[in-house]
Amino acid sequence: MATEPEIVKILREEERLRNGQAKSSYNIENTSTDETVLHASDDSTIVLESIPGQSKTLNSEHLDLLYRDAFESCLLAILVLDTQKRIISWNSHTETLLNKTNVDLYLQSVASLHSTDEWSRIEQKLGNESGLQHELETTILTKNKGTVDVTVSLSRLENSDRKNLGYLYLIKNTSEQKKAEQQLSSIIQYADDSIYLFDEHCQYRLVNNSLLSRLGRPREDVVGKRYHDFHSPQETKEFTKKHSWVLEHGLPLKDVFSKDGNWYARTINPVKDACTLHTSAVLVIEKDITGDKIKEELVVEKEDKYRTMFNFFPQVIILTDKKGTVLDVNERITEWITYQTHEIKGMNLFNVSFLTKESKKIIKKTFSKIKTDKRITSFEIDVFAKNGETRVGIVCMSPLEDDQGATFGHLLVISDITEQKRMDEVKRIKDSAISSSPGAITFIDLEGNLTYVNDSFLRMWGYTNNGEVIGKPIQQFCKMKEQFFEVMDALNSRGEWIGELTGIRKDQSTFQVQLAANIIKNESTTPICIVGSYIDITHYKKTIQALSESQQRFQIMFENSLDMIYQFNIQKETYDYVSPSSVKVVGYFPEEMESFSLKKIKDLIHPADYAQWAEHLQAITDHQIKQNSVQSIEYRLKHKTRGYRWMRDTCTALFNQKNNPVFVVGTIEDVTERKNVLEELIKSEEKYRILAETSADGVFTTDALGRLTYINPSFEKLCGRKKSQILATPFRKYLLEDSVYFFQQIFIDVRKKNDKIENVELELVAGNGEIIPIEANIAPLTKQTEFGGVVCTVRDITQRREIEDELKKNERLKTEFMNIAAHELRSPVTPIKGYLDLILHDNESNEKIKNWAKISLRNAERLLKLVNDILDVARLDSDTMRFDMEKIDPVEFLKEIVEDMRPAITNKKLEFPVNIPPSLPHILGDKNRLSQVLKNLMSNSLKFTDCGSIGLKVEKKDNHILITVEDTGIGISQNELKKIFTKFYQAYTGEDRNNEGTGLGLFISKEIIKKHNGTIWAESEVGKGSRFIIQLPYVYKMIVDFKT
Amino acid sequence: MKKIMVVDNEPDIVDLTRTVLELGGYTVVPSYSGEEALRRLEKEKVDLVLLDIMMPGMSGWDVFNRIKKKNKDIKVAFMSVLDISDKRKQVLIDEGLADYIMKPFDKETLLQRVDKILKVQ
Repeated sequence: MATEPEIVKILREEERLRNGQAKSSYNIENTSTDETVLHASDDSTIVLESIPGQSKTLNSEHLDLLYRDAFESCLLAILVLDTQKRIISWNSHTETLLNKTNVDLYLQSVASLHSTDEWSRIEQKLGNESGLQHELETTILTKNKGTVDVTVSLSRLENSDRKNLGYLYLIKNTSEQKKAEQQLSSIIQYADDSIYLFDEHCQYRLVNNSLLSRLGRPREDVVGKRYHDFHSPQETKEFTKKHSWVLEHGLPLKDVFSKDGNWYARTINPVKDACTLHTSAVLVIEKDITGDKIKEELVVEKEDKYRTMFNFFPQVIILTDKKGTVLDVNERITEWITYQTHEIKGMNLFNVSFLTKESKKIIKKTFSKIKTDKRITSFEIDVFAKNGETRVGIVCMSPLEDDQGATFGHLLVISDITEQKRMDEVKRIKDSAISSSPGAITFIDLEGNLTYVNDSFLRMWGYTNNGEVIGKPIQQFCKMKEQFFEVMDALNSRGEWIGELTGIRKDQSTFQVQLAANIIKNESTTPICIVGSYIDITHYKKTIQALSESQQRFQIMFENSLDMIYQFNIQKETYDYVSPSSVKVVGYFPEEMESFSLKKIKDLIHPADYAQWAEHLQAITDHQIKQNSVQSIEYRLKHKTRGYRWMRDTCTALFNQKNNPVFVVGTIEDVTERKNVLEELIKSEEKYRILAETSADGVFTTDALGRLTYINPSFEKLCGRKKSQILATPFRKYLLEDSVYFFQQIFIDVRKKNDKIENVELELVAGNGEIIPIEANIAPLTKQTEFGGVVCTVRDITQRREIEDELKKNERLKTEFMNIAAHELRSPVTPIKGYLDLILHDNESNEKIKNWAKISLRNAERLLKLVNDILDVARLDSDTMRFDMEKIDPVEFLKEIVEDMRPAITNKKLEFPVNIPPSLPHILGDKNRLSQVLKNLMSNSLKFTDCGSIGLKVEKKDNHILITVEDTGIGISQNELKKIFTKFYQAYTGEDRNNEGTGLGLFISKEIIKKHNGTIWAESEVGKGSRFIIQLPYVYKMIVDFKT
Repeated sequence: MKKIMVVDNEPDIVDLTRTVLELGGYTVVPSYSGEEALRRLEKEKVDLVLLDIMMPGMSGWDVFNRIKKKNKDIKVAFMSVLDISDKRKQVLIDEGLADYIMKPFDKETLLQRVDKILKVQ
């Protein structure tokens, strides 16, 4: 390959720049070759020297080789031209590209590489824009006349004196790139999406087919036009805004818009200038997403559909999460249990009030069952509707699963089966009614065969089980060979038949039955079966027979009746017939009666009653008023011998076909006695009524249920309500709550004891709300030996209550007074007694002083006792004595007393027999008070007994314990015995006895025992001794337990 | 020597009680009203308080309650003409009362009861 060293140098430099990293463009024309080389070699030297360990410097020979390699292996075709643009040198790639050899190239004009047209274009273009940076797209001709897309550039080679040395011509193969570009462009061109490029002024620069077809215009109409040329001002405004934004920010923008019913997703991308990075245009890509949109809408629509279905689903649907919280529920729930959906949503099924405990349990169970076993049978639940009804539902439950098959909730479909249940129940009742009916019932098919019989049928016909009769023809059970068709005809025409038949029992015996047959039709009136019900009328038949027999007897009775039976002929104005009892009733024989004229008959009637009688006769014979009605009238009729008697005439008129009265038939009975009694009764009732009506106390009666049946004006006034308001209402309604229960108890007691209860204090609430205390006496009312209610008299005790309240207040003051009195009376005795005691025991006192002190002390003690007794009496009289009742074991209690009394008794050398059983029932009492009584009795005995014994005995008798204090003292005369328990009574004790008693002890004892619901009495014989007996009720164990 | 406070509004009774108790070998601190008793108890330590119930001004009940509230270890016995039931007595004893001595009392009884109370200590 011939080369010119200078050119080669330049070429090498060129190559280095092409492949090198120099960033600035290298102007070959402005730089001297030498300098370039120098620079280059300097650079190379420096580079190489900088490599550590590489000390030797590359000489120019080495560099030459390096450039040559680069030149040869370059992928550009590099051609060196002389000044006439003839090819003088080229690299190997040139041969590959042009498919030409040495012969074809050397000293050929470069123009020969191109078609003539292309070359003139190249010359024209590159003549002006010389330099390697100016590339021109063109084609070259290959050896086999083909063309290849290339870019070419031309560069002048000059020496340092700017003398033209030739040209450098570079050819780059761009056919592959071009092909790719074309492909890309066609992809863009034919893409489904609309793709177009806008410049800064919103002018279309590039557009693809998709957009063109959308706009419906050819390319040339669009390119160069502006956005607003094809869009509405509104669209333009919107787009321009976005366009400017993208331009300004250099960032892409995405949006969705609709046009002509289609939907588009649009991206507006900034297109940046490669060098300046300034956004100079925007690329818009629009994707038609109408299809997606429709799909989306379909989904929404579908959801709507499901939603509608959900809401209008005929059954209740509940969606819950895994834990049972209600996510959604349809409106059927409101119809079912009257709860609004929002009241249920969000609630947990296990907390809601409408499910019964059992229902919750079963749902819970099913929930857990779902986890393990997905097969679930439907189940029933009971619910309470908000309006209080109970409803029954059947629940079908299924788990809700996500894509992975995991359960995330539950779907409950509930059908209301309340009605069905009710129907079932009704059906069941009907079924059982049919099967248990005492009448026989059968279902017969249209061929006349039995399909169902109830138990009564089997019983009546003497069969034991269904199998013997089902499917058999009815003729086997009833004699109805000829009748069968008659019955069937009747059923077909009228739908029913009632008549008598002869039944045939299993044992072939017969009996009479009445059959009521009905044909049952379905809704379309097609007959389905026949229902027959049978009643055994054998007995009835017998009764009928018996009845006709009795008719004969009736005749006999007629003749022997106590009442006079007559038939009066209106035309003849005489009796046609009078029964023999006329003798008893009116004293005349029937024959006599039958001979009486009307005048005579009228004369028999008491003048005062005649008008009434005549009116009565007129009334019953006037057919227009009351035909065939039986009328009773009471009037006085003159008895043949006994004077006027009250008669009750019960009669009716008989008419002929012309409606004229012909006969009067009737019976006359003597009611004088009854009438007298009744009159008395009415009189006395009237008397009582007046008494009640005018009573100042309220009076009312009630029925057996306590409802007011009568009230008198006083009660009306007391109650403050109108009679009409309160009659027939229960009396307790007008009582204060506290009194109601009490009254009910009294009411029950009155009923049970059938005796009156008096002085019941109740509180009545008057019409104006005022509470009135009343005292009521309540007595039972008997109605034909049965309890028929009560009669009650009530009295306003407001005033009495006030007085009582006042008294109670006084009582309190009295108690207080008694306490102070006790204190004041006893206090002075304390120092008196105390000092006397000291004197008595003082060593310095002499006997005389001691004796006086002793007497003083005795009297001080007596005074004290008197004070105590008087205080007790005063307390008892004023009822202010305090009793602390407690359960007392008499055995223990009496033993204590015995021990307390023993010294005094034994001191007097008396015997002290004590008889206390080991155990006794408990009594209720105040220990101190009872002890006071017993000690008092024993002290009395001690006082009056000088020799013998004082004994204490206790025994159980009936419901009581008896405590007896017995002595062998002087005794009490019968006369005195009556008085000993009275106040201040002092027994005569003889002259030699100091009367130290207060005369109050026994009175106090009696009163104390009385307060214990007991009694005390004395038995005595003068000279032999006395016996005091206390009887106290003991408490039943049960009551004691209750109290404690 | 044990010290006993006697509280009664009647000086005669205080004197009598004092005489009896001194015969029994006790020292007595007399007091003539509830108020005085409480005041003296602030300064003086006694082994037993014998307390009347019905007193003008502060009653024995009140004094008892006050004493017990302040120091429930002080022994207090009532000494009264009021007769109360055993049941009520028991209630009071449960509340810390040492005894309930009825007036009038005789020398022997009073000394016995007081000895008994103080011996328990």
